[in-house]
Amino acid sequence: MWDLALIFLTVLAAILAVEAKDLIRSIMAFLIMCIFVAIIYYAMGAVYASVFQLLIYAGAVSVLLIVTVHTIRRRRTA
Amino acid sequence: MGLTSPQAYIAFSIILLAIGVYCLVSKRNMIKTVIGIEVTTIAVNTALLSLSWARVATISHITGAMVEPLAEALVIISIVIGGAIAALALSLVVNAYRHYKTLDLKKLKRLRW
Amino acid sequence: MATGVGIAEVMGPVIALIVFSASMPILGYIEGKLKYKYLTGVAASVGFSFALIYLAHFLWRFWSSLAKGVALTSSLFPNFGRPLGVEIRVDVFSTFMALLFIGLGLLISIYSIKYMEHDTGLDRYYAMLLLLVAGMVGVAVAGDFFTLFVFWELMSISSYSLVSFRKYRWEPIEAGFKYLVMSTLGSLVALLGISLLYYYAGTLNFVLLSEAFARPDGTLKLYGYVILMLIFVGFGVTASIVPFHTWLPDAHPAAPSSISAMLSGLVIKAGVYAIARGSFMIFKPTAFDYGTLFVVFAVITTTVANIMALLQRDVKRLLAFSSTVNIGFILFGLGTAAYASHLGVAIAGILGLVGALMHILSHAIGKGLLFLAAGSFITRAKTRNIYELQGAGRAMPWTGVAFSVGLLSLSGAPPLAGFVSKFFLLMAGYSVGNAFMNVATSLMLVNSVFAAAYYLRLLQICVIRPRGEGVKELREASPVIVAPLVILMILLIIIGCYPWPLLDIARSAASALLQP
Repeated sequence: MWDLALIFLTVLAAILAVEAKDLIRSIMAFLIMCIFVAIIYYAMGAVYASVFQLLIYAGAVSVLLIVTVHTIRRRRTA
Repeated sequence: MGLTSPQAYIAFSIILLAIGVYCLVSKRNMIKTVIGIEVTTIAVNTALLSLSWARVATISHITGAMVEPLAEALVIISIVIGGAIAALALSLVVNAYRHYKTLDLKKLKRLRW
Repeated sequence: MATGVGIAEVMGPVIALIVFSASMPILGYIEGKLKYKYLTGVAASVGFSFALIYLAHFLWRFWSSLAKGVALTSSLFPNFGRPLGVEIRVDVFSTFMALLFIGLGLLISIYSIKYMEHDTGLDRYYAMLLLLVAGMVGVAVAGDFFTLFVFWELMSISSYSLVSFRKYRWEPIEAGFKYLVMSTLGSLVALLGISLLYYYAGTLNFVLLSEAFARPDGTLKLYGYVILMLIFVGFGVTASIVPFHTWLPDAHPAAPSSISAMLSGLVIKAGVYAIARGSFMIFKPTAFDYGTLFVVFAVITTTVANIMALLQRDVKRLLAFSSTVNIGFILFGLGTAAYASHLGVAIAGILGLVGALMHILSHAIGKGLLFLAAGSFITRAKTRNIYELQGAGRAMPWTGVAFSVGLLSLSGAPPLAGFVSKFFLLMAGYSVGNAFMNVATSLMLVNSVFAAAYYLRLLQICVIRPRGEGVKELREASPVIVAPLVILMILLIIIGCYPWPLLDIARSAASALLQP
């Protein structure tokens, strides 16, 4: 039953990612959600899917989101 | 480490799907829209994996989770495509910001959903 | 009813396109060094010619067995067996679509050599164009949903980036973002449908799936309808069926005209192809009654898009709405086929599919021609308003004649291709012979006349009226731009005057789809 807690935390992170006012907080919640989902995939036995989830979502997509926000913020102040 | 039934995971993926679609239809920020697309993609991937597990559970009564290789391959392809779409969408967001100096979808003149 | 072939023979066109696409960055670098700005365009045209030659060679070798209704299959991993090995499946319908995709792609790449000469980043443009066509050909030859989904996303991603290619203007960015969000959601809905198929049958192969859904009972039938709806909605976003069409009238005007021709002529046809494959191949129309749904959606699509098209003043936006109208006609053909087969009227089923296939062909050629000609007007006149383009066809005679022939063909004037396809569609609808189909077909007939009205209005304004103020100084476009237009125009006339070989091909494709 330990995985129900994981599911609950993932849903919580997803809601936070959607609802947070600050974009950086929202992206951090998205990153945490991606890591939780990767753990869930690993527990399901889909090891490769879990690795790809970590590499692409938690790695690439989150970084891209942060870079985008960073670029836009810098323009706004400048 | 026994997992609960695949039905719990199917329900989980439906909740994620609802969150993603809600984000897409209600949020005005373009970056939030990209996050919504990605959450929806993750939800559909999870649905595919848990449906595959449910199928294995009904035909062979294996305890514990097991996912068939075809479903896993499709999920990997879908994850990679989701990454590509996120990169493309974010480049469009940056370009849109250059033109409008805002991320608000309502300010984009002709963009009506 | 399936014979094996080597995977390299079937995938030859796709591999050629992808290799040329991958070599584009190097060619772009050489182009920059040589200061010769047409190198990438010529290389892309050579790539399309290679693909066309590969396909022609494949057809020359296997046409005798394909024409008998045999499907050629080959597997990427033959040792894994049916459910796991990624499968390629080629029948007449696939080759018909693949030939259309590569042929129109070749003409559009030739057109782009001159049309895109003032843009920068042409290596990316041609790489994406080649990948787009590779994706569509892959969708056409896919033998399971895995392959179809992979190539589908290849096609989608390259078309998103092509729509927003001119990223220094606001309109392509906005339209591209809208297209990306809607079409990605559509793909995800389709993927959900595919995963439900997988849950029931444990395979994604079309043949094995059709065996699994051959004899549906109560709950399985309901399950099948749910999957059908998901697949219809998912691929219907790209096919621009009416409740999901809102990306199209923004994306088509925003894209460069060559890409509008590509989107309108081919990409939305790939959506229709995926719907036809997913429905007719897996859910046999004798067991599932989805024809009614298709016909109702077709009538709604045509009516709504017609009304919207009548209100437009922007020539590319008008043509974009008319694409949605014609998708309605194609969907009507598919729906008639499914409905008639469900009732057991075999002849109307065949006629409906023949009409749908002929309309795919005539609309792809005709609308490709119209968008290319409109692009040629727009580059010279620097405006998209039809009243400012008044009399542009007189100033640019070749483009004007091609534009007129395209408009007449789409409005269904007799000796042209559009007449043949609309004739078959309406004949199929009336030959079912019950009240529902009679009403639906009459509505389609009214819509067809209605559509002819605004095509002829466009013809009258742009070609027949004397030259307006804005077009006094116009010169004819360069021969590289005019040549594809003339080829497409001649094709329309040939198909209109002598359609019999194509009708034979369409008939064998239709019977291959309808027979189990």
